[in-house]
Order: sequence, then C-alpha cells, then structure tokens
Amino acid sequence: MRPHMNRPSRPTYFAPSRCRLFIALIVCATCGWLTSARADVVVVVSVRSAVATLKAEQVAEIFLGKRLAYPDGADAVPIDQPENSIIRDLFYTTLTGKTPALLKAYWSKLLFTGQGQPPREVASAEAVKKLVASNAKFIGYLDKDALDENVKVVFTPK
Amino acid sequence: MNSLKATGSSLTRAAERVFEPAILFPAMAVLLLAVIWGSTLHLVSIERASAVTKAADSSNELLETYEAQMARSLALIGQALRTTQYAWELGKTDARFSELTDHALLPPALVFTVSVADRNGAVVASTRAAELGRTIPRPAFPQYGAGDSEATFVSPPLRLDAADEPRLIFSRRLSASDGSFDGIVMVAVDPAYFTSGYDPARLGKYGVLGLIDADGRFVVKRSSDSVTWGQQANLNVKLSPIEPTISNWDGVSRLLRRRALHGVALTVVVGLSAQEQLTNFEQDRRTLFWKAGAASAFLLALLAVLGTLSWQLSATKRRSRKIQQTYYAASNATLDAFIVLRNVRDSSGTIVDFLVEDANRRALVLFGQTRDTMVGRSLCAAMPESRTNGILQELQQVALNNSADESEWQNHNPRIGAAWLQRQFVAVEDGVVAILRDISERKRAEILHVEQARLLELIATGTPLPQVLDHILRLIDSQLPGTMGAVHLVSPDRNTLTLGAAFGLPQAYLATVTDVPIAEKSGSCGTAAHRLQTVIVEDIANDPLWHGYSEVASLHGLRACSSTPILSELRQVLGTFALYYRSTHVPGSTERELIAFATRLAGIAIERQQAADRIGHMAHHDALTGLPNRTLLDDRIRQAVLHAQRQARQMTVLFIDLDNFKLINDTLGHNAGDILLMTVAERMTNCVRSSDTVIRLGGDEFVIVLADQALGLDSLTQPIQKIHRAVAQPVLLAGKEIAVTCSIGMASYPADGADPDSLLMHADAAMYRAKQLGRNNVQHYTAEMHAAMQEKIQLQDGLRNALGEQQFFLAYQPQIDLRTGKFIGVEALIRWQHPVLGIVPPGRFIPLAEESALIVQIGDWVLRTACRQNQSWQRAGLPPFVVSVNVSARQFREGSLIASVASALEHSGLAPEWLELELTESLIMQDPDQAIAIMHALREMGVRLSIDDFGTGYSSLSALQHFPIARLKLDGSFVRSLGASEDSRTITKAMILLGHQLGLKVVAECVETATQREFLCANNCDEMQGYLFSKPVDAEAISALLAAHLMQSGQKQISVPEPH
Repeated sequence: MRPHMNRPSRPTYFAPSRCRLFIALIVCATCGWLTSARADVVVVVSVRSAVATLKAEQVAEIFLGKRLAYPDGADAVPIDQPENSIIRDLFYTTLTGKTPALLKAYWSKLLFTGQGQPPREVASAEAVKKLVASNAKFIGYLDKDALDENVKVVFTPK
Repeated sequence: MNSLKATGSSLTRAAERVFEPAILFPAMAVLLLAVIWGSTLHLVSIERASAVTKAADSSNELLETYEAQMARSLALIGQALRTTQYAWELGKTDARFSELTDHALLPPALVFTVSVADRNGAVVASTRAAELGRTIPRPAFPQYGAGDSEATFVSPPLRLDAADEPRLIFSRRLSASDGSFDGIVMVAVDPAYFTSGYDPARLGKYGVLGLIDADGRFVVKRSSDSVTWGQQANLNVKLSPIEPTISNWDGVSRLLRRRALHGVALTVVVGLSAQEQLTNFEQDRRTLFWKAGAASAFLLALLAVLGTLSWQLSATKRRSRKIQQTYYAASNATLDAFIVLRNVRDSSGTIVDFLVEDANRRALVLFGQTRDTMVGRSLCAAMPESRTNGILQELQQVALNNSADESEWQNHNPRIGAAWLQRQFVAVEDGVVAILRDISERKRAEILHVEQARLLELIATGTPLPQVLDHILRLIDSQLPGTMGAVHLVSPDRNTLTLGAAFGLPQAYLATVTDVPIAEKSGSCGTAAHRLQTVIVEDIANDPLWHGYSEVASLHGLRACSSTPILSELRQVLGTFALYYRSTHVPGSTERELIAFATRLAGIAIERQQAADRIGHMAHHDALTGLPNRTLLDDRIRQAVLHAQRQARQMTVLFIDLDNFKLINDTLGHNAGDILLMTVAERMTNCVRSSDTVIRLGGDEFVIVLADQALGLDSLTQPIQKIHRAVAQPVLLAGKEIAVTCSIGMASYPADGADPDSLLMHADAAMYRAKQLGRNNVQHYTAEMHAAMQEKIQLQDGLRNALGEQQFFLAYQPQIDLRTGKFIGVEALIRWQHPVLGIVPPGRFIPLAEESALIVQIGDWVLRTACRQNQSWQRAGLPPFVVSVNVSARQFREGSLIASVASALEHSGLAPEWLELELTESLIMQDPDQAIAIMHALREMGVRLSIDDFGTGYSSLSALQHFPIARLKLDGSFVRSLGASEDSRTITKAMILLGHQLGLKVVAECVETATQREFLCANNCDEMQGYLFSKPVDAEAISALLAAHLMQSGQKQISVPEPH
C-alpha cells in the first residue's frame, strides 16, 4: 500500500518533489479503483444534532483539528475510523487530499508543537456509528451502506 | 614678535592656500569620503553586531521552545508509560489497552505506539496489533535493575527488522507483584517526530534541530527536510554564546545551543546557520556599500564640477584682478585723465546723471579735486558746470546711443588746469568712460602754426613792418593775456634802438624811452641788442642794467622786463623783443617759447622789409652803373618840370647815345662794353649837380635831366660841353685806349614840351638827328626833327604790316666775271614799296627792322623768295646761276638760319649750290666759334658762303682762313674811294691780294665807272657788280637781260664758279 515508505534506504521523511507526482498518480489510481469498487463515504452526525449539512471545507477543518465547533457554535468532536482502514484512507484522500503519511506528519507536527490532537480513533465503523449516535457533538464518517437511523448524513463527498 | 608675525602671516598664507580651489576641493573630497566610508563601516559593524545578537537571541529562543516542546512530549510519553505501567501492573491484561484507548488515556496511536513486552522482550500487548509477538532487541531493552523502576529509558534509533520504520523506544520497567522484573512498558516513536517542529521560516535551510544521547550521538537531527541520526555530534566543547561554530557533520557554520533534558539522558541541540542569519546583514552591507559608493561617486563628481567651476571662477577673478591692476597702473601712469561714470537713472529709466565710479590721478589733478570730492559723487555734484556746458547732455547721448564721441573743447573753467582738452566719451555697459587729454600744448602749437602762416603771408604780401609787428604782439597777447610788449628796431646808424611796435605799454613811457643806445646798462633792450642774447631783468628797480631808466619804469608800474634780441640769419641784430611785467617775474617755458616764436617772425619781417627796400632800390636803379633807371625817369622829369613851372625856370632833357658802342661791344667783348658804360656813367654823374639826374635807359642810351636852369639856351652850353668832353675822354678797354664819342639830343621845358613823354621823344628825335648828321655832335630839338621822327615812327609802324601786305619785293643785281664779262649770278636785294612813301631804300628800313624781331621774318621771306625765283628761272630754261642773299646779324644769332635755309631750299626745290649766303664780318666776329659752326653746317648742306662788306670790320685776318667761304665782297666804300687817293687804291689792291692769298675769289661792289672796272681788272679782281653793268632789276628783267646777254656773247652756257 505505501511502497515508498517501505524503502529503508531512504532516510527522508517526505519524498522529494519528483516523487510526489508519482505518488499522486498512484493514489489517484487507487482512489479511482476504490471508488469504483467500494461504496461512497458519508459524513455523519447524530440524528439529534442540529447540524443539517456541512460543507467539504468545514468537514475537512473539523477533521484536521482546525475547527472545534459546528457552524452553529456547538462543540464538534471528530471520530476517526481505525488506522489503515480503507474507509479512513478514502475519506482523507477524498476530503483533504492527504495520504496517510502526510496526515501522520501533519499530526506529528501539531502534536509535537502542542497545537492539536488527532481525532479520537475508535476500533470499528460500528463503534463510530454508536459513538456518533450517542452524542450530537461527535462527527464521523461511514460507508454509505453502514448508515442507520441514529445517524444522519451531513456531507457526502462528490 | 617678528617670528610671531612671520608665523601669523605664514599661517594666513597657508590658510589662503587652503582656500585655493586646487587644494580646497580635493581636501573636501577626501574628508567627505572619509566621513561617508567611516560611517558606512561603522554602520556595517553595528549592523553586524546587531545581526549577530539577533541570531544569538533567535538561537536561544529556539532552544527554549524546542526544550519546552521536548519536555511536553517526554511528559506525554512518561504519562503514557506510567499509565500503562499502572494499568498493566493492575491486571496484566490486554483488555486494559482498549480501555485505556477508549478513555483516551494513551497518546494518539497515529504517532505513539504503546506496547508491553515480557521479560524476554517479546511484545505481549500493543496499541498496534502488528507489534504483538515481535521481539525488542537488546539496545532498546536493557536489563533493568531492581532499583531502576522509576527511570525511563530511551533507546537509540532502531528498526526491529528490515521493513520496520525507525523508532525510538522509551521504556519503563514492569515489576511483578514481588517487585521482580516483569518486562517493560514502552512507547515507540518515529525519531522524526522529535524534529517535526522544524520551521523553515525560522531555521532556514541550514538550521538544525536534534537530540543527542549520552554518547554524544545524534538520536535524531533535522536540517531542512533531511532527517538523519547516528552521527557523532562532537559538541562536547563549550559553545560560544555569540560566535558561530562549524558543525563537524556538514561543515556549516552555525550558532549552536544545547541543553540537557531532565529525566531522560537526552540533550536538545538547536543551531542557526550563521550565513543565513547574516544574509540580511550581508545584503544590507552590500546595499550600504553600494550607497556609499554611489554617494562617493556623486560627491566626487559634484566636487569635480564645483572645483572646476570654482577654479574657473578664481581664474576669472585672478584675470580680472590682474586686468584691474593693469588698468590702475596704466591709467595712473598715463597723461590722459580717465573718469569712469555709471548711469544714474530716474524712475522712468531716463539717464539723469552719472556717478563718478573712478577717476585716475591725472583726472584729479586736471580737475583740481581730491579723490573724496570726486569719486563716489554724482557728476553734477562734483562738477556742477557740466549741467550748463553741455557735457552732461553729450554724455547722455553717448550712453543712450551706446556710441563713442570725440571732440576738442576749449575750457573756460579756471578750476580745470588746461586751456584746451580733447575729450573722448566711450559708452560701456551701463556707463560711460571719459578720457580727457590736455592738448593745450598742441593747440597752442597749432594756433601758433596757423598764426605763423598768416604772419608769413602778411610779410610776403608786403604788409608794412609796423603792422606785422603789431600783429605779432597781439598774437602774443592772445596766448599770454595781459601782455605788455614792445619791439625795437636797430636804427640805420646801428647805434640806437627805435620803437617798432608796442602793445599794452603806456604811451607816456614809450615816449620817454626813444633812441635807446645799444650798449651795456641801457635797460634790458639796449643790453640785449648789445650782448646778442636774452636779458632777463627780474626786478627793474634793483638791477644795475636799468640804472637811469628804472625811475621812469617804476613811474609807469613796470617791475620786470625780459628782452630778446631779434637776429638776422647772419646773426646781426635787427632789433629786440621785450615783455614787461607789473611784478617781479621770470618768464616760464611757455613764455620763452612764445618769445622765441615772436622774435623769429619779427626777424623774418624785419629782414623782409630790408630786402624789400633793397629790391625797391634795385628796381629803380641800374645794377651795372648804379644809376636810376627808366622807372624813375618819368617821376624825375615831372618833378623837374613842376619845379621849373613853380620857379619860372627851365629844365632840359638830354638824350645821349654812345657812337659805335655796338661795334666795341661786338669786337672787344661785353666786359669791355660794361666797363665803358660804367666809366661813362660815372663821368656823366660827376659832370652834373646833385639836383640833376643821370638815368640809364638801357644799352648805350642815357638820359640826363637837368633841373632848375635859367631860361634860354645859354645856360645849357656849359654843362653839355662838359658832358660831351667827359664822355670823349679815352677809356682803357682790353688793354687799348679807346675814345668814344656820343651823340646828344636835347629838349627843354618850357620850349619843347611840358610832359615827360614829349620831352623825352623830342630829345630822342634830336639825338637821332645828331646821329644822322654823322654822330659826335649835339642837336637841340627842332620842329623838323619832329617830322623826321614822325617818319621813323611811320616806317616802324609800316614795317609791321609790310610782310602781310606783300609790300616787299626783291630786285636782283647781276654779277659779272671781270675778265670775261660773262654773267655769273645775281644778288637779291630787298625793296619796300611803301603805300605812301613809295620805294623805301633798305638803308632806311633795315636798321629799323633790326631793332625789332621783324628782321628775322623779313630775312626768311627774302630767302624763300630768292630760292623760288632762282628755281623758276631754271625752270624757264635759263642756265643755272647763283643767287646771293644777305643774312642779318639777328637771323644768324637767333639760330634759326639753318632751319630757314633748309626750308627755303626744300620748298623751292632749288639745288643748294645755286644759293649763296652773304655774311658780314661783324656778324661773324660777335661770336666766332658759333659762327664757324653754323657756317660749316651750311657748307655741309651745299650752300655757298661769302663775306660781305669786307674791310669794314675788325676781322682777325687769320680767322678768315678757318671760314668755309668762297668769296670776299669788297665793301662798296673801297670802290667808291678808288679815285680819291693813292692810299685807297693801295688798300684795295692789298685786299684783293689778301683774298687771293687765302684762296678766295674777290667780288667788287658798287662798280659804277669804267675807270673803276679797269683798275679792278688790272689788279686781278675776279668779279664785279654795279650800275656799270646793271642796276638791281626785277626778275623778268633778269630773264630778258640774260637772254640778250647770251645772244650777244653767243654764250650757250654761262660760266659757273668751280665748286670748291
């Protein structure tokens, strides 16, 4: 899945710009494959939440720790799917364009410099659904197929 | 004191030199450059220090930040370790992990992997499932001692296997319930995490963040995007807080900071690249240097321009100063006065006055002003008269027209020390320069020159001397106003001075000093004339030269007198020129000059007067004899007549002519003639009273006016006899004693006329009569004489018209060979057919013609007519013969003879051998040399020559030899006297013999009788002419005569004399 990161001979954390294009191509191809192969990701909140819809930016900001509240002012707490889960990678690449490595670097820096914490990670999609449904402040993402009546979709990536 | 002064002055000079542009501007340039570059360098050093300080501060701040971040991460890790350790030690179950995770008690799994390994190193629980079962290698898994349970251990970066990410493992000891080692709880972190705070904005490209372990190795090190680990940091040295250190791992110079962390054996290191931190400074420095360079260049350029301008300015100043100095030197040295005037304008711009800006010394002297009274004041204030005398107006014109004006100006202002000025006004910018020159000297010289010309003209035109002298004195007065002067003239006896002219002197004084003796101590003039040099008497009253005259002079207020002798060219004193003064005085240079001028002109005037007197005498007197001449005659006769009228007395005019004077003059020379005239004149003068007058009319004619006589002829006898006898006394001439007689005619008032003309004419007539009567006698005028005189006048008048009216004709007298009786030629004889008097014989009119120039024209006419006639005879078929023509003395003397002869021959076409010219002895002897030359010339032409009237003159017989002549013609008187005496016959015979001995033919004239012819034949005379053969006849008669003669003698050819 991440061939470049597996090369031990490379001491660099980030690929040089020459490689970045290559990575992007692979990611796109993967995404294309994923999108066509799997169901779409949707962003959900509790049905009790006052939030109706969110824009892509608002969602991205919430999940990248740049926004701590919904547009109406209520606390927003993002919930991540487990690391290395397909839906999680799909979600982030679709919404923020960041690969898992970039995302890790992003959060490492914020974490190290004390500027933020990555979203709380739960063990499964079910746990996400359950958690979101439990409190209006939570926001998560799910496979569209995994929706139920306790959550509502506030954003669907195109 | 002196040295101080010297120092002061040298300092001043040095200071002045510093302000010389050549030094000032380079010095300024150096100074300003030093300031610019000094401040630039200072600024650079300050900036550098500030940049270094800032970099050091940044490093410190970074260190603080990094340390804090590390501390927080370590705290987080420590918390996780302790929480996990606690949870694990409580239950030792995997489930605790999920609980911890669920309660967010563990750090984000994305970065931190929390695991538990058993005492063998095998992972038994982990937040990351993949970790389970893996074994932690030894370096990250130390054998924790029993007592080290509280310490956190950090491993070097390691990988669990080849595919693994590098990681740092932070671990704590797990204790079993009995306290024994039960494994470890650990947090694995990517080492890059600890440098993820690297901010390129702050750390740049070559900054460094890193952690060093206890061995001094980098646990992690990040520089830009490059994250590495494992190198030896070699940072044991003490790091300078300011100076950068060169990092051994990559050679970059950095400001490094480090600090050991608490609770874990790690040291944080931060470093900023010195170069990057100083980039701005470097840039600033470069900018500063550029600016300083630009400023320097600009400054140098500016100073160069200013310096050049200043140098030019100072050069201009120097030049103008030099020019000004030159101007001052020149204007003060010159004799011209300079005044520099600046226009003064009123509000409308009209020039109303001038400001005297400058005036040279000469100008101040000329205007009698000082610099203060003139310079800096207005023209009208300094010289108010300039408003009225036109100067201001003229200056305004010059300034207005921007022109120049030059004129001469006679000054009447006593304050200006010059009588005549030449002024030159030249317009300059906004002013006028006036240049004035004192031309009094030149003007006076000009005036004197003009006056001298005028005076010389007066003198030349014969203005009377007193008038000329008066002019001279007036001229002196015009130049020296108030002159008192007098000109004295030397009296004829040369002993005294008499007054010639005076000016300004009291008449009473002049009247008392007449006839001043020419001697020492007779006043200034008498002494000057005596000494022949100027005598200056400064004080008449106390000068011995004036002794005896001083009282009179003092009486008329005369105090001083300077007298200069007037000298002729031969330095003879002619008079004196004196100037008098009313106070003691010595003449100055101008006066002396004028005196010299006056005496020179007076001398000329006096000499001219004397010359005129002499000329007058000469005009009225005969230079040879000293007798009065014709000019006085009229006057003397008139006076004598008047006197006689008043006194009822008689006066007589004697007309005296010397007999044969012409002959003496011709034969003995002019000198002899002159001596004769002088002797006779002296004798006549001695014979008469002083009241009588002896006058020479000219030539040998004298007139004596006898005045104041008793009436009647008796009173005349005695003086006339006395005169007659006196003249007749022999005179020694050219060594010979020669007696001259005279013929005297007389006419008296009242008997013979009352006016000078008639008395003279009547006396002349009487004299003429005396001549006619055989000379050497005295005739009193009678009425008959008047008639004869009238006839003479009539003939003289008639002669003038005779040629024009063709009253002359020629008669031809044949000449016969005595031996053969043959016809040999003719003599042409002139005849005058007077319209009233009939035929006038040549003896009566030829002498009259000789007296005037008419004889020349008449002679020409005779020559032409005779030649033409001879040629026409030849054309008529007659055999050729010679025609003889008489030549008058005057014709011969006046040199036209040769031309006349040539012309006559040419016009007639006659061959020259058929023309013979008859010359008289006296004619030749007047100037034998010239005569011989003319005779030779005529012979050259082929003309024959003969001597006429031979035997009547005083010819030197030897001279005859040299004459190119063919014949001698015996004078008729010899032939006529043949019958009278034996002596005559002897003389005639001798003369014929003489002619033959000279190789000449002898012709006898006036042969009238057969007896005469026979005597001549007997004595071998060659030829004859006369009434015996034929009287003179006309041309036709000659033709007829010749034809008859030819027939009679059967002669086909007339005999022709052999050419010689």
